[in-house]
Amino acid sequence: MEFDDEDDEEINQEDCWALITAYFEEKGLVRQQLDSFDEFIMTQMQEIVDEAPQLELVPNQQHNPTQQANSERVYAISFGQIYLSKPTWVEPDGETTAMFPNEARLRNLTYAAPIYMDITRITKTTDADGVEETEEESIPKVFLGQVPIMLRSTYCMLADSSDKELSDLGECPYDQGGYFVINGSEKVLIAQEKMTNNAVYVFAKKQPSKYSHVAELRSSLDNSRPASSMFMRLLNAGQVKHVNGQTMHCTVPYIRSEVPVVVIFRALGFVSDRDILEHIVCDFSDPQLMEKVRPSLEEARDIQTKSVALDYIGKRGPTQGVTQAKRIEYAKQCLQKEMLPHVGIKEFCETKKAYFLGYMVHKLLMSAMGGRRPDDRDHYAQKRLDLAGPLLGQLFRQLFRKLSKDVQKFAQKKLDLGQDFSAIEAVKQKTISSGLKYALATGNWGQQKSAPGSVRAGVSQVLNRLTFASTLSHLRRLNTPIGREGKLAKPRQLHNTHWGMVCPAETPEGQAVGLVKNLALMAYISVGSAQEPVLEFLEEWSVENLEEIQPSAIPASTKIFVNGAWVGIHHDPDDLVKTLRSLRRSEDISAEVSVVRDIQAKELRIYCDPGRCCRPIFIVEDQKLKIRKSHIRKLNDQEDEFSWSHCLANGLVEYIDTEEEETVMIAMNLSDLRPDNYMYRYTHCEIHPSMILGICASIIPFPDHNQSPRNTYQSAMGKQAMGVYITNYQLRMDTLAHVLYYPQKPLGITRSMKYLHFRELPSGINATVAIACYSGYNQEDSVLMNQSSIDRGFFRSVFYRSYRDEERKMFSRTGVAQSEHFERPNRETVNGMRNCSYDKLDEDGLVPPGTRISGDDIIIGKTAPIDTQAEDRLDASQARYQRRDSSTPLRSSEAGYVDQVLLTTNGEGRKFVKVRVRSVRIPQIGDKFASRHGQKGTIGITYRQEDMPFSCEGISPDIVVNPHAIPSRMTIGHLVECLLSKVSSLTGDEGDATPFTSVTVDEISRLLQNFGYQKRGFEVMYNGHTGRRMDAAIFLGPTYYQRLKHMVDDKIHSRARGPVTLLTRQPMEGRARDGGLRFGEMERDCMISHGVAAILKERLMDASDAFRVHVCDLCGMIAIANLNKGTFECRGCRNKTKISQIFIPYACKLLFQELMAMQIAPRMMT
Amino acid sequence: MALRLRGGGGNDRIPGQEEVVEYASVGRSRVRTIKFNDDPGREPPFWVCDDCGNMLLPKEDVHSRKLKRLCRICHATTDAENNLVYVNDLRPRSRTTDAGSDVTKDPTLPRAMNTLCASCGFTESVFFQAPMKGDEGMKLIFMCLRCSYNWLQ
Repeated sequence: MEFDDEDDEEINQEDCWALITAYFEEKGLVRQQLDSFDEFIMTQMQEIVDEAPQLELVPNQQHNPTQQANSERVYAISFGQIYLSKPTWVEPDGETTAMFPNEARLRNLTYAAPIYMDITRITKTTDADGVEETEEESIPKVFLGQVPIMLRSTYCMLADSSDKELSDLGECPYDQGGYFVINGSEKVLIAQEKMTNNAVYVFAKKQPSKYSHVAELRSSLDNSRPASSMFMRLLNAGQVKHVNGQTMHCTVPYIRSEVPVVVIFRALGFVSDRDILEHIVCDFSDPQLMEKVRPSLEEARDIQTKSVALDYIGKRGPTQGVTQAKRIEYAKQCLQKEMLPHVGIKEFCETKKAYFLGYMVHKLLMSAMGGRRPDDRDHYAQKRLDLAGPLLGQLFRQLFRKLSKDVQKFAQKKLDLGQDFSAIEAVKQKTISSGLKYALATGNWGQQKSAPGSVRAGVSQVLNRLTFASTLSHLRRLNTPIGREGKLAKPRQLHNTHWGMVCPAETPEGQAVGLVKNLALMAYISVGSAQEPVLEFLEEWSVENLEEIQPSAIPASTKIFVNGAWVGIHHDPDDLVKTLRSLRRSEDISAEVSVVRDIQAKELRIYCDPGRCCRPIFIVEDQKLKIRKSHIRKLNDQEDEFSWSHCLANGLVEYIDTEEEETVMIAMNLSDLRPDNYMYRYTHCEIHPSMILGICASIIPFPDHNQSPRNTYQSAMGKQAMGVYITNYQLRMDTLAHVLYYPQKPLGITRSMKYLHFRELPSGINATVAIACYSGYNQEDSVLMNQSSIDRGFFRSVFYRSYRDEERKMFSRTGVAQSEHFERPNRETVNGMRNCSYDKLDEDGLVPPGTRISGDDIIIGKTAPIDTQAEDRLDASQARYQRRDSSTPLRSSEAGYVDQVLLTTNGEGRKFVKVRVRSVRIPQIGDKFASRHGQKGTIGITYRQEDMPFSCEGISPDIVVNPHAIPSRMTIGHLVECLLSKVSSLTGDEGDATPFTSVTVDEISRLLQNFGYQKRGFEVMYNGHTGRRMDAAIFLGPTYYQRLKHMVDDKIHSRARGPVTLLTRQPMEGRARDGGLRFGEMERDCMISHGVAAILKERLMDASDAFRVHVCDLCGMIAIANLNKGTFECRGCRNKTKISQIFIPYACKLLFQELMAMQIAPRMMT
Repeated sequence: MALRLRGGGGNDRIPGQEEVVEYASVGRSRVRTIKFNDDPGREPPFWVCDDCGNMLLPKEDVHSRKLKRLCRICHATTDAENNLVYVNDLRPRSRTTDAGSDVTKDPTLPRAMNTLCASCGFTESVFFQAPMKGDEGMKLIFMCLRCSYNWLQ
């Protein structure tokens, strides 16, 4: 240790926060995304290329009798080193420039970097004499395509930029990156949760069933290949004839039916009963267990040699009617390559496989005998998270395979034609570029044309930019891809093992509850490290290989597993674990490797695979923290380069994953670490318990004083609050954006807010709130708001909406390419112009910034060409038109000013325009507000200050909420926040509302009392209308309130007459289309039961939907009527006289015609 | 004595009871006797052929009226050392742990200071929950910190 002992002081709670600050300074909040993506770029991509086999090409030349084949040529193509450059952009005119994210966002481009690859072409020539000649031609840096780059990752242009450089580039220094820009829109890859591979689970089957217990294993060699599942089932007694007792059967890949376990052992070459038993029970000291194997041995008594066993398996394979030798070979291959691939797929892995199989049998039987508890499917140690890296890896592997297949096809075709091929030409750069872009743009993960079952939807989502916290939370979201409709509750429930990994509060309500989760603040997802160093270490530390041991040695020693594969046994696990841990703590092996010693099961499991949830905690030795005051001083010292990673490398803290967490003893608080605590021996200590919360829950003050669902509600609501969502909002053209006028940082803050930059980018105002009944206009979750405050700017916000349009290329019927134009359409020459104002357009067809515009005004004037040559132009009156209008009007319900106009070219080099419209939203009756405790309400009425209640100091509230909102919801945190904020407003400090601290209500009350106020925050108030003192004292104080994005002006809607749909002539749906309000079944029932059915008929039929038809009296079908000539005819009946005129609803007529179209004749007999 | 018997390994053993089937020849017939046995060390037998490693089956030699053990694979026959054929242990599986003395090193286990080890008289021990069977209540297993002797609460 490099520190001397003189500074050996214990740290206190405040010092913990210094460490947490160091953590977030180094890591930020989206580290998992960045680390995972970097891993993909740095290592995974090359690995995928390396694992692709060399392409072999043998030309199939046409037989040419005149030419004697004097030499034979064989070609091969191999792929080599991959190169990636920084993101660049090639303009359609060929100019190449470096690309920056904001340009990509504004011009709807994709922020991507080109990749290049070395390709080697090998030509082998064998001439007539049989002399071989090999020629190698290496083609360096062939352009492969474009890979979208995650913002702020190592290969991003913004990596390592200072705040100044960032703002010069039009970026927000607070933005953390972690997303992609695809066609101008920001896309996040949502982490996907899955079950871990290579772990054996045993579950008891619900009886009655054929089986009593099942052992499951999803085995995969690496995460690229799909896992091969294996089920080992313990059948109930009596299921197999002639055998007395419970037998075990097991699935084998590609084998149709289940095979008795003993047969698999025999097929692996372990024939005698003793050999098999040795692999299952190891030594013969447990006769009870051996007795459980007996029925299985009896069952397989007839299969006594390896070849018979292989034949037994081969017979159940997919190929039938082949020779016995082939069947045996097939079965052999099956066992070697497909069964338990994670143990090994090379030859001579039989011993290992037999031991692993035996281990599975042992686990299954122990569970059946009640010797161990069945496994828990929802335990978080059994889950892995697929982040951006592995997700892109999967996709890149698929696309690269396709690319190499296409190269092979192309080259083969050329060679067959007797031509030479060029490797550069053969590589289609579109495969990878558009494949990645498609998946990221649509969220359909998988190849575009592949089977629907194999693609996952919703993996990539548009980044939420409502408020800064919602963006951060979106970047840390987790998704469980199981059916939303599945009503199984267990996977949705909060599990004990979620502690510190997944936020206990932040989850959506409704269908996705518990399936969509959010990472806790300090959770870290492993990116995966190589297992070779671990294996080498184990080799050095004399771990005995399975091939070299006596089975009888196993029970006395500890089994060692690396990533689920059993690699050997060791006699002194204590020492081994100690060494492994100390190596990890000094970073001799990766810090994210987890070492799990299961003492009860006598197993040592080591994991270094990607996707494990870990979190950092303090290391404790001899009931004392390893971290000392001296370290904290170094952390706080700006000069000293001591950072979080130094703490990690010095063994002061370490990452513990969910599985290892079960084997360590963690103290909750520093104060629990007392030498006189005889009950527990701590090995670790929490850094701070409030780190279990996620982004949105960390904004809640005193969440530990609230009923838990209220924190969940607030976590959802905090995402709808408006504030400053990012500092560069003026430079961005988001389709929708809300920005609050005078945002304030809250008086009651949590420590975590510092890391979320909530004080820099807040989303609310410290409003003076009274909890009172006053005038009755704040009933049922409505609030009173002070109109005078509103007039002073309280909760004003700006709303931005951007419209976009481009000049598209059109093709006329004759195939001539014509383009649309941005221009001011002229009513004389342009067809189809709307009945609204085009006056605000400038010469260039765009509204100039600063123009006031209101509903339905045209903001982008654009005309499209029409085919003037087309013969079928209806009449002469249309001849004067040369173009058709295709302008963009402002939304009919909105109004505002043109804020900014952007005119540029897009990726195809076409003219492209974005127009941003701004409007100020002043709070009014019906707008929605919420505190930070899931207490939302709409404005019921606004009173001027003189009508509001006032205190003796003359203070009147900004907001009055109804006291009935409190008791049933039990949001005590709301009240404590108010009390604390009141003190803070008097002291001028920020109040600490962090959960799980020693702050008490009594302490806050005492402070308030010292300022001369009633200690619980009550105030005597006077009625604003009458001036009389009110009977009850009123709880008054500042509370942080948020304005939510739901506003009446965006919702208000009514309609008398309006547009109808073409087909049914029913009114349109939705406010945006000026739609009608549905008079539904229940409303109809109301009318009927009220006894006014005639009204129904009159309103719904006569006054709106009536349609006149003429019906043939003979056949009842619709007849032909010519009202001008007064002739009527039913052709089918040759009837021109017996025709009736009737009125039916248009919908009824439509139904009849549709029925007729499907050969059903509805007859209207009059 | 009512014995609930199941072939092979039923899961519902009755505590303290054990079914022992012994072979006996009376005249020309074989007699199956079921005895109550409370010897705690009794284990079900499992015989394996010395030559080929396969299970041995009981077989009666009619002439010598002796029990033999027969290997069905190599057809070797050996004399049985006793007349035991089969034991169905109906007692619950040993409740204490066989995880060994390392259990005391598990940091996650709580410690008790006021227990008395029946083996060495030491007072400190670790304790943990015994695997539960059926509807019986929770039981604790204590393990002495000095000698690793363990006992059920």
